[in-house]
Amino acid sequence: MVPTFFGQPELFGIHHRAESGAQDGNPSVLLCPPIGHEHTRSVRALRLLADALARAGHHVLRFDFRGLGDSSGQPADGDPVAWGTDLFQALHELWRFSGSRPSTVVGLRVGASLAVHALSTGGGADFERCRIVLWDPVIRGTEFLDNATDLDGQFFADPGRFPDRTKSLAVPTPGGDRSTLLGYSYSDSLRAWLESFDLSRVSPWPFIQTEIVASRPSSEFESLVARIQASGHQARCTVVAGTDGAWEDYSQHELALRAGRIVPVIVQRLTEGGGV
Amino acid sequence: MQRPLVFADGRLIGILSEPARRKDVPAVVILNAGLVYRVGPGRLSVDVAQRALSLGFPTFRFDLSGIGDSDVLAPSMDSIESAIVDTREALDALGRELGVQQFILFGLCSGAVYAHHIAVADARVVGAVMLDGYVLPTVRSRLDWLVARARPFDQLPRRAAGWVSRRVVRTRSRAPALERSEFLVPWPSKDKLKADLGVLGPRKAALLCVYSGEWLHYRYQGQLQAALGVPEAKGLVSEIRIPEAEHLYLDRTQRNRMLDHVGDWLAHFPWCQ
Repeated sequence: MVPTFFGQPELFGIHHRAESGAQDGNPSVLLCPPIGHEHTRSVRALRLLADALARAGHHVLRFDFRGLGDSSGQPADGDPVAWGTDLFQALHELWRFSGSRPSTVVGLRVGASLAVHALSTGGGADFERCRIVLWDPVIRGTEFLDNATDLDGQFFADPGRFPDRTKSLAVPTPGGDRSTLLGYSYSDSLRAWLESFDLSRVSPWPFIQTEIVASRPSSEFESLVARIQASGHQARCTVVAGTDGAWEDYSQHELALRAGRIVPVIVQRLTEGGGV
Repeated sequence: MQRPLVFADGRLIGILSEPARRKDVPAVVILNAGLVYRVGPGRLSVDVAQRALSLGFPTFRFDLSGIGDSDVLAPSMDSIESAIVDTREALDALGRELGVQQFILFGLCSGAVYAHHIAVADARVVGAVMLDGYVLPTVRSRLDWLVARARPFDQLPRRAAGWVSRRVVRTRSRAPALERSEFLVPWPSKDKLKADLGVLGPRKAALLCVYSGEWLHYRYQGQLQAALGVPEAKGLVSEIRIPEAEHLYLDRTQRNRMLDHVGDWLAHFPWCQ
């Protein structure tokens, strides 16, 4: 692991050098993290994935979008345009470090949506032959926003956290900043994008190969696969049983994502020859 | 300026931030809050670091063994011992990088309890900010808690009936709360705390204890000093209660209040005079 700051504004990233081969030309993979409260939950899981990919011969960079994690800025600085810029900076940083053009992007939750959005809206000429892994992708941004709003509401009404008799002391201050959800600010532009973004309507689809790796089945994933295939690209969906990310489960929202079963599947998908 | 720092033979990782204009002040070292990695819940640790940095303090946020990007310590040991070992490694590394030999620790929840033990164990620690750390009860706090539990009084008969009913059927009607015990480390006893003050006092190490409304057994500001009942505590321990805040300070207004208190304590302590 080689931690570093790169780009402008300063973005934090950790390089994981390929352990087998370890030469220029090894495939290189960019990991795009989720946003908001899901970011914190996922750090250890993404580290496990990066380690496993490095052992399998991939150069890996995981990074934080501006305003998240260790990167500079505030969460309110985040919007799809700024984060798209960050994503391309990260791709170039990975290219510089690994010596090979990034071949794969792995996006988790909204990180997957941001990667697709960025590469479908221009600026990605250097990376048009990339493949993508959509890990538990958020198909519609409203799903994420509604879920975060719901969890935030449960948090501030949690009888375990605020027993009824002290609840009046513990609710957010009237007039306080309620643009935050579970401690993370969402700018107006980010909210507007989340409210309008729909992964199933992205056109043209910017990746030559698409792997959806999901912790639970969804007809929306199957529809997305069919739609991508109809556009002439390769796509498939794998459901890894018993690995539910429990993204909507309040009792899990503070706990680290358990990815022990899903990580080997992603590594296998990226290591096996012949594509999907 | 911030930069990553890998230390302890590559086992541990943290983010070091240095102010543009360095003052001759201790470095602020921010510990993990429970199992949350070095940015903290809702980036709390980042906000604390930025506040301290704005006051001229170098800051260091790092992951203890097995959390975030730090590797597991082998052989494994008791979590408090492990936190002491890891933090000493961090202080050594900061000594090499910055040339500082005095440190202020910051911790929330289990991090607060770790901060206390580390402060006692390592003479380089001259202060600790502890959010929702240990609590000692007093007669007043116990009475206040009982009254708070009984409120609102007009619902007392109904709640009493409910309590009896639950005892009979052995079920709990309350919504399931998060299992927090896994995040907690044992609090030091009153006798241990008194003995620890005897260690910290001659060193003039100062403790700031901040309590949110969620730390329900902390009922009034000054409770800790009252419970300890030793004169040394008065000069060493400062207490702040923010009853409107919850444990993670996810509400921005309450977080800013807490940061103001912490900043004020840092800015007015002797090392800044």
